[in-house]
Amino acid sequence: MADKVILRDVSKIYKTGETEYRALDHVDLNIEEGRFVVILGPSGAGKSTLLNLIGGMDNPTSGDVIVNGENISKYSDRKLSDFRAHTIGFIFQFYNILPSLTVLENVELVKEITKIKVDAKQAIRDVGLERHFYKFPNQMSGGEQQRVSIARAIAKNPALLLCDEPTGALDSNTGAMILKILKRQCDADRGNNTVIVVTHNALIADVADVVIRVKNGHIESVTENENPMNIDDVSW
Amino acid sequence: MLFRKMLRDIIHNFTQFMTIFAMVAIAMAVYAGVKSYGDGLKVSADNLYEQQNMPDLWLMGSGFSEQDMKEIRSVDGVADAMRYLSLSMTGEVTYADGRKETFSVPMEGNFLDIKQKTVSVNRFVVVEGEGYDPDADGLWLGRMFAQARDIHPGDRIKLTYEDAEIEKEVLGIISVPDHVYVTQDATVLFQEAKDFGWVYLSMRYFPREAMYDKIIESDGMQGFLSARDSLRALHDMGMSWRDILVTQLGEMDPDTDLETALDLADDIANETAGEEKKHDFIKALDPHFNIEKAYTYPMVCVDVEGTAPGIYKDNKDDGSYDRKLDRIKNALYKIDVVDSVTGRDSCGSYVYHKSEAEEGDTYSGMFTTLFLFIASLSVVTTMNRFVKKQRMQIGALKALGYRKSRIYRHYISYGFFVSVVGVILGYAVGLPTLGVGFYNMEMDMFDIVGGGIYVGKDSYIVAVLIVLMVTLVTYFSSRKILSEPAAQTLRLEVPKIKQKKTGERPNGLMSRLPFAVKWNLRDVARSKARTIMGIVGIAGSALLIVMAYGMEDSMQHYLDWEFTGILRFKSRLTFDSDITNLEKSDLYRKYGTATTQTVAIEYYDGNGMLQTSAITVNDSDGMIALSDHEQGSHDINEGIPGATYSDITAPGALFITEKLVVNKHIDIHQKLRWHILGDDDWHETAIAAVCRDPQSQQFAMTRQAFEGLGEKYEPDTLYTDLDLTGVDDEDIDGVSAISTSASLREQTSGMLNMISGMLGLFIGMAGVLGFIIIYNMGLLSMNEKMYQFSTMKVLGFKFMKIMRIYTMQNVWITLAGIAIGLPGGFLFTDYLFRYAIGEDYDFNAFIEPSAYLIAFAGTMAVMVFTSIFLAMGLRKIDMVASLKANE
Repeated sequence: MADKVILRDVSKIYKTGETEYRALDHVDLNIEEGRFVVILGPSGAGKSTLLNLIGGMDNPTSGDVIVNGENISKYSDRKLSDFRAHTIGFIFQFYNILPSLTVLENVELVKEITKIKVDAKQAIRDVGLERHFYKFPNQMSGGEQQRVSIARAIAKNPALLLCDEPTGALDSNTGAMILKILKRQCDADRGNNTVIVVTHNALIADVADVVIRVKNGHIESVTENENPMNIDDVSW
Repeated sequence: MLFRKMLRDIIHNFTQFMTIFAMVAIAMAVYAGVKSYGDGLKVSADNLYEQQNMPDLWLMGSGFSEQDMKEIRSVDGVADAMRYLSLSMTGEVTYADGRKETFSVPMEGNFLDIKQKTVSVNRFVVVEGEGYDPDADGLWLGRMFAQARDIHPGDRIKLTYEDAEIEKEVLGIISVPDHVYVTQDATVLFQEAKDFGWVYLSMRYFPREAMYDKIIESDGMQGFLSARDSLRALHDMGMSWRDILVTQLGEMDPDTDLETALDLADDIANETAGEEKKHDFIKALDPHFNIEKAYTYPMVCVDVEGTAPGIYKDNKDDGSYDRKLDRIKNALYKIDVVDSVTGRDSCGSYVYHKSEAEEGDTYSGMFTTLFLFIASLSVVTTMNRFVKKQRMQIGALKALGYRKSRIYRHYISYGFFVSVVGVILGYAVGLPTLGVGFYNMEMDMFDIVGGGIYVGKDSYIVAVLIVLMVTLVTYFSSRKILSEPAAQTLRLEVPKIKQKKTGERPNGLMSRLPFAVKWNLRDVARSKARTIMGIVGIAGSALLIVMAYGMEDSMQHYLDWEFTGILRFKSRLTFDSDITNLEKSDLYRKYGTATTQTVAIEYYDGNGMLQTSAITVNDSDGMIALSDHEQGSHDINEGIPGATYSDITAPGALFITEKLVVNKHIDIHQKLRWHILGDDDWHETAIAAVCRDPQSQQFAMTRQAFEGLGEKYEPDTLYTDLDLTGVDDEDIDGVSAISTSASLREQTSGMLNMISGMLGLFIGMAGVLGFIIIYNMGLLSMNEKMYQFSTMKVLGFKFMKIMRIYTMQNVWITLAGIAIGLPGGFLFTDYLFRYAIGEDYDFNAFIEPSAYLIAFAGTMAVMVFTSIFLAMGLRKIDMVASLKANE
């Protein structure tokens, strides 16, 4: 399969006063299309930085980030906005859905910025919230809100779905349900999308196609999982 | 430790705390400054009046003799009385240092009773030189004029009254209680100190020659002069002086020296006699003549026992002073020679000063209330948000074992310390700048020695209330979080599960609205306090801009109304008090016959109180027009709509100004009981019509109505279409003053500009406040929405689109604020003009559309600028950090 994401000698340095913090240090990485990738590592290892660079939310200090064959590290702010709008779906630990909008409106938000045809109601049905179209976020539980966030991300069927601790704030049953939804995005009938999940939870690694371990700003290992486990079989 | 935490938190949240600090400091500075100057004017005047024994009553009559004075002093309740003569003179100054500067200005000469050894009523405050001494050969000069002309003791002033001159050395520069504010005459609205002076001196130095002339002008003396040739002929025929005296001049004193009188008669008749000959002539005819007894004192100032209530409110009494005054007035009226008795409320100096001092109360009350209201909204919003941000820290403190009361004290201290420092700074800045500045500005007009600003207990109470308000707001902001258990506080705040509300229904109209509109509508509904604060802040800013420009427009409108609608002459000539019929005829021939006569009256108001006012008997052919309620102009002889010709020409039919009706509770359907001062005949006449006058509240009457009462019309002022700019009144016989409409307009404009300048300063400060509020509101709004905008940005919303969404809500809030602020500006300006600038004025706000346009554009510009400035931060937003921060 073709490489969906390529990182070439990517470094990201944060400066606070005279202190320099190297979040990513000369990282090289290739991620193929249609894979369910889990990035594991302790706090401060550089997982989220990696995800943010791939998602065009941040620019590398040096090196190239190539997504879909395009070097996004040279993109302007405007082009990056377009890139995120058309190519990327984001899911965060604390959902980040807009409290002033209903479930349906949150998912339809994509229509405001792209011309992609979105079936918002179907996306909501896909995450099992068909009875909650017109509810506001503060009328829903955390798991339901996270599913809204997933529905918003998958509604435009993005080629790359980036998830930062998507199950971190959820109980095990809800977490499993969320993972199933995410994994389904990689299926051929869904367009062979690539899903990258950043997590602390090593158990999730068992269901991944590829496991990337990050430590101190370096890629410690990239492991192909020959036989990913079924999510229902994972003991949480 | 917690104190250090507080200091660092304040530094980290500098903008929010700076807003509270600035609000408190500006509100306090305005209140303390304006209140201290207004109270300073009152207290300084009260002290001056009390210490220098300001008269409580003034009497007028044809001349008060020593016997009359004894009678006056014997009235129960009268502590002291002093008689004097006040004359309009001109003065010329000769400087002792040899300066060649010469000028001649109108001066008021006050001649004190020759027997008066000390000034016991209306005492002098000696600023420079020596105190009053009736035997000292000199005069005492008013301070304002002396300062304006750099005159000091040792300089000389030559006073001229008619043909008599008197030149005296200035012995002292003084200030007296009833000359705190003086004008040359009623035609001058705003007196330049250098153009008019007043002096006090003993009657001993009254120009005797003028006195002799007056005596010689009497009928008896003139009769003798006419008969001088025939008397001489009788003597030449051999008749003795004694026989002539007995047979021809039977009623004369037997000791009359006819021979001497006839020796001097030709010189006297031919006006070639000097002062000595005039004296000898009078003395020859009246052997008991004593010049001191011939002096006329038509005025008496009276000191009533006890202390009069002051202008400052802490010094008011229960009405017993007024009752005592009424009783004394009635007793004084019983003395034959007394023509009128007036109190302090008829003393121009007292009334004008009091009205000016009371304006400060309106300004300070209005502006401070406005400032504090806006400030309190800002404090509520800012403190609420700050405490919410501190939620985790509050939880941590609880978990560490800090008692609730300790944490309360800690959070209350934020508001307390910031407001205390704000209040102190407000005082420190407001008193020396606004307070002293305004006070000194007023002192260009008022002569009060040794006064200054005054900080009364009201100011301290307001300061404590401000600190209390801010502290309480802080307490209530932290109370909710502090009442939670520690474990709950350490968790994120769980949003309330709300039921759907009107306006949030996703189906119907709301669902069809564009995303940006929908999002903003819901955000407004969810952030009511912030929205209300924004609307109020912007309404306040728009209101103040309308006021600033509206005041200018209103004053211009007032000037147009007064000087185009009512005063339609080009020049006004005030007649000399002793103008002859020949001189009058000459003036009518040259300048026309449009005239008025002003008569001072006393009348009973709606509460049965005796009041002093004036009637303008108007025969001016429309040159002095009357204004109806809608400010339309009418010639008095054509009447005011609603009044018939017979109404207005009926004997004694009165026109009354609208504001006088209100101020004095007059029932216009009842007859008014009044009399001319100095005339014992009382009239009860109907009010024919109500008119309006923007700057003097009094009565008017047609000549026909006046003469219908049997009164003789004796005009004192003539109006003409000719522009007499530059013509000197000394060049026209029978005229004491000439004023042109243009010069009157200029004087009024100058006076109003001072008020306008003062208010302009307030408005400037309020404008700064408005800007801070708008900025603070924008900042709060941006902070609260930051994570939502970050989410949008992550999703791919472009900067311009997010900015449009952010700006849209601000535009709505601005429009709502403007919608309240524009009419509010009109209402506030109207209130200010109706109630703050003195009882004599009657004009309301008149605001041109351009003022509203400027307010609209100005407020929108500030809001849009602030929105764009704050939104620019979104361009460089660290999406990850922003989203994490929210987590």
